[in-house]
Amino acid sequence: MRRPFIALPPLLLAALAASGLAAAERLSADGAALPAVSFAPGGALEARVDAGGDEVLSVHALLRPASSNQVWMRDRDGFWTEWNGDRAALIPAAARREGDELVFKLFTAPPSGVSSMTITLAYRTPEGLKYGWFEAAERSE
Amino acid sequence: MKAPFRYGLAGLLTLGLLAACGGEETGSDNGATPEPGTRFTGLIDFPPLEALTSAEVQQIIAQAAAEAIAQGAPAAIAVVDRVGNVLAVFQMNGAPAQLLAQAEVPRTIDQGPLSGTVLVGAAGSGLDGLTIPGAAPVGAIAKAVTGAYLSSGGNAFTTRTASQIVQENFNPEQTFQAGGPLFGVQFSQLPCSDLSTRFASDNGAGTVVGSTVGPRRSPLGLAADPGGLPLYKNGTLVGGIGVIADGIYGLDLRVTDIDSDADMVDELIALAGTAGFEAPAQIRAERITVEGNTLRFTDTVDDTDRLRSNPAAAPSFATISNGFQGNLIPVNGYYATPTGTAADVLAGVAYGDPASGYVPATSLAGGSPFENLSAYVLVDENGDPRFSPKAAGDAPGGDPANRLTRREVIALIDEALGVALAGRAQIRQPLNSRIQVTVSIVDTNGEILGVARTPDGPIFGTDVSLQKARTAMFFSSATAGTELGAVAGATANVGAQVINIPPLQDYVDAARAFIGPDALTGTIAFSDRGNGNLSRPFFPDGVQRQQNGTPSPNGPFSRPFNSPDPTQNWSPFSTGLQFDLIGGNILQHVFFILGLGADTPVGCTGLSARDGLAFPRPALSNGAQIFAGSVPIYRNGILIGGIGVSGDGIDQDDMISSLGLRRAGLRLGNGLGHAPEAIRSDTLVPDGRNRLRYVSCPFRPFIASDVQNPCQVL
Repeated sequence: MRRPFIALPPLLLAALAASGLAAAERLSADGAALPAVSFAPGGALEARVDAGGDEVLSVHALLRPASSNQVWMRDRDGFWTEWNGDRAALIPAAARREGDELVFKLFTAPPSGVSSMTITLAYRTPEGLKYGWFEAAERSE
Repeated sequence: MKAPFRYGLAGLLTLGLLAACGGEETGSDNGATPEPGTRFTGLIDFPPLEALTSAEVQQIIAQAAAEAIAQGAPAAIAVVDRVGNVLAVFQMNGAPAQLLAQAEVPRTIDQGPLSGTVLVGAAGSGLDGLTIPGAAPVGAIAKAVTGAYLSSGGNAFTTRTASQIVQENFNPEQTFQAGGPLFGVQFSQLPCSDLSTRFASDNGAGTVVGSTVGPRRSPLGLAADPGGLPLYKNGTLVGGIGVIADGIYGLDLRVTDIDSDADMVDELIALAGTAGFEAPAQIRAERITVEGNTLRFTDTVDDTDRLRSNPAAAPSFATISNGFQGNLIPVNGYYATPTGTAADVLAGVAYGDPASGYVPATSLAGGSPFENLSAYVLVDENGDPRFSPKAAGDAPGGDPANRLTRREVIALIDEALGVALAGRAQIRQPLNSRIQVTVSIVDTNGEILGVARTPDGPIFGTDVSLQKARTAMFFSSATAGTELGAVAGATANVGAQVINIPPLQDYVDAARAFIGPDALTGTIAFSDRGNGNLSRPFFPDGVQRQQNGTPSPNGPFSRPFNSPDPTQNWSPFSTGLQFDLIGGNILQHVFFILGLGADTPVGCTGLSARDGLAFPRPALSNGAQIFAGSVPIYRNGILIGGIGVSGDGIDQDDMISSLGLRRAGLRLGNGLGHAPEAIRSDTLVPDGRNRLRYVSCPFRPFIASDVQNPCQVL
């Protein structure tokens, strides 16, 4: 998916969610750039993914603070640990299944000192990994 | 009036001093027989912790405003600290609101082989000729940032200095001289950079908070329009001031004349603002030579000879604000005025304090990862390192085993810093000062694996070193042409003006026609020196006309200099591929500032991420850079990353990146090193006569070594 290159019309930008991905987005084997989101100050963030009938073997969530080159992965218990970049080393996270949708609870409050970040969501299928990413940031109000 | 050419005397003095300081030979610094583990074992002074107070910022603005009144030229005035925090933006009553991005007169080349060529000012050629309503304060911020970012404790540069070093010849108008040494630096510190931080933003889903530390982005990149000066306090760099009074965001095309008051009113107003915060005389640009040319600081004899006001007698800020002579004004993404009072004038942060975003690495809670005790690093709001050395997450050549390890990243940075601090600076005074730079390492996705610097490197080199590392890696990679070719052209409308950005496949086609059909497929290793050769409006660089009298062609990554259609012509506002990669980001950001849409995303260019799981941003996420100071990193002939260096002369930057890589490879002994000689860019002779370059190093560059040509071993 190509990144927007020139200013987008404001109307196209208005449809973005306030506390997570508004509509469940599809992930892809090549990676999908998803719409940016914002969340309330100190607030929670969750995101929905449309698995589209895929057989999901495991789910994964990565967080990259905007201000650093660290990458953290979420485990089933909600703890974030550093990821070394190896796909084989990705540990499973947890997601709630609602029909074809996977609902990721990412955090109830953002990690300390991290107000802007890139979230990558992924799941494994028998055919391989599908993933996508979006920018998430804390609102200023 | 200053003599325009003083480099003859300065050059003789330099030679004399250099000849007098020779002597001690240090084996590890002897580039003729480079040994791994080069170490500078001394300690470089850390810059004192100095910062502007709010009262001092008010004084600076009041002094500038008094001169603006005296000049009859109400202005937009911005003050920033050393790391780019905007401390105040003051808009005087009657100041021009719009900003015209345009080179100053003359607009047409009126001498030399291209006499009559319309150079710039043509709507449709990048940003040149673009009038942006309401953007004058934006230009003032960019100029203030430039004054602060280009300077250090060893050099004081202004936007006039910047103008001198970014044009098609150096000095400008000296035909048949190579382009400016910092050709292209104007498109750094970009608003889309993933290194430069944001005060506030709108990511498309609402207004979101930014980082509280620097280094900050600049709304238009770096400025070359005279009227941006550094600010010093007790001899320590603490920030910059930028002024727009004429509504023009241009440059000085002619350095050999002295501008009239009307032509340099921005600079005179800014100069008045610096009273009491002047750059030390001994480190000003006019005391520094580059490639035989003396740099320019301002067009005045001293700081006061052309002022029409007495800064010491300027009315207080309280008497000019709140509408009397102007107001503090908010600027989206840069500056807020929550109280509407003088309380909105902020104090700066001291460079080196964690609040600045830079600290000595030895002060990190976990200790320094580097052997070099002088290393500085970037930190976040919590004082934690932002770009601590880490292993790559890519799979060079299809095999993760080829990737750079954390140990290798540390070795690369240590070796590069060691070379820098053993070397003699080009742009710092006094003579025989050591080189101060920033070093960045990236993997083949463009992921940042490590950034570190010497204590007093100019701030601009932080972002630029990363641009350089990424550029060398990207253009040496197998998919560069394919990725560029996937970025479609675009058209943006700014009022009635139309900005056309061509499909980037045009540049790929041009490169393949110029170099060969396999250009940009990974068969050639491009240093930024070699890439820069292809990014100049003349090939070979600076040579307007060939021996047979025909105009030289432009490099394939450059806009042409003398196209029959002047709207296609090169200018410092429209460099070619470099600008066209990020022009959309700049325009989107300006729209955001003006309240017309969301901010540009983090991560520049329209390129897709190479491996979105490992690094969900484009490989050139802070834009491309097209002046020397970087090389790609290989392991046993396979591209595995890039190393970039910025902050001193380009030959010094070149030497530090290339010797740093070589010495790290020798130290590690595991195949890490330079590209095989057979694939380096200096094997290319595109026109059958002129060879591209790979690395150019300074002569006798080390302070304690007599070695003449350390890069002959590469």
